[in-house]
Amino acid sequence: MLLLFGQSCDKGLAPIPTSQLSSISGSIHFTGLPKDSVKILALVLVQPPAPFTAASLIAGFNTTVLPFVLSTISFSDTTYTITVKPDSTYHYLGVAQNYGYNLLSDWRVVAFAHDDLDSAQSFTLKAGEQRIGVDLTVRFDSLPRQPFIK
Amino acid sequence: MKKILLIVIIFFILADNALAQSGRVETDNLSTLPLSGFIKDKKTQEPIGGATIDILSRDKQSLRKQITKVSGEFRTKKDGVAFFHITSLGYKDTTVTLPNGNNLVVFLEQKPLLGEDIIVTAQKHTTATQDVPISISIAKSEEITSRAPEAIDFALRYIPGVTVTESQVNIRGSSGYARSVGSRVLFLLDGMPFLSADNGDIKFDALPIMNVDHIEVVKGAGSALYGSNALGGVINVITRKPTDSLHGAISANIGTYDQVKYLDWRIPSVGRKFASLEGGLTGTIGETGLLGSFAARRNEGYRLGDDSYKSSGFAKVTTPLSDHDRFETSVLLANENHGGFLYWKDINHALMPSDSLGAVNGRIHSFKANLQSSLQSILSDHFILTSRASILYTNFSTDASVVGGLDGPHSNATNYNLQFEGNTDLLDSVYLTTGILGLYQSVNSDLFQTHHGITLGAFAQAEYKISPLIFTLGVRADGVRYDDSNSLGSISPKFGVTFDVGDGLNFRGSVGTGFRAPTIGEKYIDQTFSGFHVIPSPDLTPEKSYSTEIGGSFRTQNIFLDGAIFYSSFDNLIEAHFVTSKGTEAIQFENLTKAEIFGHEEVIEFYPLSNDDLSLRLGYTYVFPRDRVTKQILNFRPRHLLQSRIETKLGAFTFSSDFRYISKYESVDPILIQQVPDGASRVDAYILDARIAYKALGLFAMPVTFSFQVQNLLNYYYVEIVGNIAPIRNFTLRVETVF
Repeated sequence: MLLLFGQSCDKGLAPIPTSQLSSISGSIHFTGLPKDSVKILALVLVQPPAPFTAASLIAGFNTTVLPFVLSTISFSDTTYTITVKPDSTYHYLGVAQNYGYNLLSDWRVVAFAHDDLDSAQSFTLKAGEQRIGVDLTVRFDSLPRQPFIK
Repeated sequence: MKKILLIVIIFFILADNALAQSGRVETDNLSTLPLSGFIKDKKTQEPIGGATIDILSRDKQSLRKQITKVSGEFRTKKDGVAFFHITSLGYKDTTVTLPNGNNLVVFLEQKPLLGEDIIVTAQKHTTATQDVPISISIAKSEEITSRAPEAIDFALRYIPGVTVTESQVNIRGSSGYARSVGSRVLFLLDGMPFLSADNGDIKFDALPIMNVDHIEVVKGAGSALYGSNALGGVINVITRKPTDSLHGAISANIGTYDQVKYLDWRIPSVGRKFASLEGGLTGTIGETGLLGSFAARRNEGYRLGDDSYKSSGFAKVTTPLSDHDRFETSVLLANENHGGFLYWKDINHALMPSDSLGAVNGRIHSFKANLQSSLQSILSDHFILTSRASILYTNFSTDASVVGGLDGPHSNATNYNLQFEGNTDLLDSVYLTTGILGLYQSVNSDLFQTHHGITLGAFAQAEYKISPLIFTLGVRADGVRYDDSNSLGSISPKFGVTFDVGDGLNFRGSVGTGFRAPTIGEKYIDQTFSGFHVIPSPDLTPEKSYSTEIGGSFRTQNIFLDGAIFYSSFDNLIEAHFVTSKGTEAIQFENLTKAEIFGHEEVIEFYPLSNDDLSLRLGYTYVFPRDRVTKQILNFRPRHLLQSRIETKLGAFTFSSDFRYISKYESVDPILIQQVPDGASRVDAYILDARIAYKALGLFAMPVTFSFQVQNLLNYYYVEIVGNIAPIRNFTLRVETVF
């Protein structure tokens, strides 16, 4: 029993020390004009590999559970910093736009990070790695290929 | 369905025979005897069948002996009689003098020995625990309320062998966690099912804590008496009876959660305070007993988006309709409004929801109403008929989305229950319990659409007593049908035996079967959660189980020991898993898992001073739960569970402490791990609670109890469910007065 009480003092779960945290940061630029409404713009960091549907993205938003980091951003050039779990694979980092009234389907990704191919690209950060300068450019007149399947 | 009809017919034949052989009390030719007596339980007012009446002369010589009938009645001539000495297992021996009139009612007090309680759940009639061939635990009101719980599930966490994962109860590893859909433990309120019609989950927050008399936990498959859901056991919350004279109680709690140790976790905007007010009144007008209570609770929570407002009311009326009929009805109403916290953002933001905007603004509203009535009719010396009906309505809705204005999920669900149960002791050594029942379910929801279900069942159980052995044999048939789909049927037999060695030593052994019909939620859900589309599974079939245990107990005036080894086997367990649907991945419930659980459980209660000035209780449960096919450990089952309690009374002060150890889940749902950032984070749990209470005389000489308690004294951070830090250290000041 004393051993168990002794164990209790260990405090159980704890946050990952900052020194072991990984982060990714950069800037978001906007060019061109959107062809339709911009109801919501959000930075999205998607971890699970599948499924990849607009409905799933929004249902996550709507039901308060997100399998990704999502934070609303303004419609102007800005910077961001996101803390990510080390040694975990993220499917993509991007900016998502809700362009219509239907929250279950009216979504598109308007920019990807690591966008050499202008499409989603998975990445993994090591513990403590601070990846900077990961910029995203939202080209409203030249949107990227969509990962979503409607 | 043919089997069900057969059992229904047998039930009516037995009932008819009972009436035919015994006749109604009014027409009984024994009524010419000069004295008619009834033996009843002082607390429950239930008749005590099988009590021994030693009829004594003035010099206390035994003239003859009689055994009370199932109605608790006995009759005797008065010549030469001066006293009656009444004994019954589980009750204090009582001696009364011969009354002047021709009627005598004797109330017996329960529990002469430790652990020798009277329960109603295990055999569907009042039975001493040592006469039951299966493990039982009881939580009593004094212990439940002393912890100032916000809901009944909190009280269950201290019962040996029981853990609670979110709202799902786990008895000896039977349940795991199935996303709040379906319960593998049948939950009853005063003997009637208290599971919602849509999710099949337990509405803990609705139950009237102040009016809970005790909670009975039957461990192991119990579908032979109770039907669906009794896969891993049965929990019956028994509410109080109205008192003869006017009594009332009022209690107020106020408290706060402590600050968390880690700066990363702190959220200044969370208030962390909580408070509650409960009150109740009971009494009897004429022969009608009345009881009512209310509760209002506010909890600011220790996490962002996790606060709640709760209110509830409960009322009960009991009245005798005649000398042989007793009617009881109760109504329960509960309302709740709470934040939408579901999972943490990540381990570094453990008290912040993954979507803070949605969790804070997307509040969840729920309403529950339960109306139930029972009529107990003593139809003859040998036959009691109990008719019960209940309606349980549950409703929940989520606020419209904070962006876009779409309606959130909502559901309306109603259960209509009707049961007829007969208890008879046609032969001195055989006690027969039979019953028929029906359940109609109606669900209207955007999650589950509109569906209806109907369940019909019938059961029969015989207890055959050849002292010192009692054999129990029972069987139940159930048929379940949803909409116009095919019927699902189940036959659930059981067998048990108890052996009373004497001097407080008893042994027991049993084999029981269980089944759980899939809920409307599991069959018909069609909704996207957490980024995953959950699709319907109309072809789900019932889960099945059988469990066996061998155990023994030993009790004296100051020690109670109980031990059991058990084995359970499960088939067709319904689990969520990934499937490919229309070219995309989705989640679907399917009958996937065959599992087995082996384990043992030991309970010690010790009163070293032979009174309740000092008491100790220790319960340890070991389970080895694994998939029979993959040999993998089952999800959400702690292998080790240790629960202990110590309480001491010093004058007007009472000190008590609880310690629980729950070993880390060796396996959790891989889908949840994908959904929840850092979802794999979990640890062993060590939870220490301590409290001190002081009883004083207040205004008008009313006793007032002040208590202060600290829960999770060591501020240990652990999760019961993925991505949810369990309550952190919190302090409660409680004031309670009774009059």
